[in-house]
Amino acid sequence: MRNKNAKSVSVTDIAGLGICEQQTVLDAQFGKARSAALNARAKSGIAAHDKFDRQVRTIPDRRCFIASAVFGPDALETNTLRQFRDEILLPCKLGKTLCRLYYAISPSLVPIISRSPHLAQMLRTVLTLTVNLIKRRRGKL
Amino acid sequence: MIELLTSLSGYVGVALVAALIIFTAHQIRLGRLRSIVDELPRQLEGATLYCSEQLLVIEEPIALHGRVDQVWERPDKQLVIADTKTREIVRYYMSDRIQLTGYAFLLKYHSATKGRSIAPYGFLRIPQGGKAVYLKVPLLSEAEYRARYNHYRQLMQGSARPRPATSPLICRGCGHLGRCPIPLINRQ
Repeated sequence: MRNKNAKSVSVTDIAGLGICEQQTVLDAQFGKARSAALNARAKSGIAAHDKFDRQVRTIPDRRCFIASAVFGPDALETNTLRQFRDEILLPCKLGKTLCRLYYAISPSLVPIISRSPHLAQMLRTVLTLTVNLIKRRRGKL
Repeated sequence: MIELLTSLSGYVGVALVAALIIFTAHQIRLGRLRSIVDELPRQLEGATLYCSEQLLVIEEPIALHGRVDQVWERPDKQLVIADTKTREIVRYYMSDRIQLTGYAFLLKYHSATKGRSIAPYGFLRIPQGGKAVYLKVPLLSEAEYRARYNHYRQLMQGSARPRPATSPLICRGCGHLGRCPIPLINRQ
């Protein structure tokens, strides 16, 4: 920690004022002291945080992952599909269901795609046609 | 929309059927059918994860730091804060409002997120059994947060008098009970 931050206040410490100001002051003077039950709950809280952090970090990989695997994460085709998802699919109920299905199935499909160049080629063809259809459709609007 | 989906269905139909079979098998194998995305509240539909367990430090306008659990980015680019709490009762307290407002303050003034729109609310994520409940929490105003920050500084300098806990339940879980000058639990 830099010396510059020596006077920096923690968000958690300020939040402690909403529980007990006296406790906050005594924590600063004597160190944090809690009952065994509260310490056990804090421990399980840390474990829950870590578990969710690991789970939640996989979400960005799932999203548009197949298109990213086939075309690349920043390819024009991938961005077109992302835009299609955000602007056309997500605002309607059916589209939302399709998106959820996509988020759920893509982690299972990616290892298969990476092992099979034929499947990757087939998906590239299908997705390219899809992207072209979206572009054509957008051109008509 | 329907016309477009119909024209697309010819190309993706076969792939979708195969995907459905794999998806079902995968979900049965894992013993779950819900995903994290399914649990997100209505306000976070279509949102993507902006960051998770991220330490944020600012020097200006106040010296403040904190590790935010998750920040979600809505489709309209607004940032929404979420914090996980392990508790049996699904409710929020003033300390939660102060904490979430603190993270919003950090995001507002951090160089990486300066100028970004930040939602005037956050979420408490409370795991309940096999799923998580998201509880919407209104944030404090910036002025209210600054007042609390200044009060904290005054308490640490000894220039303000600390108020005691409002509930004896808090005193029961406190390890300073023996040395506390005004333990609420002893006054009852």
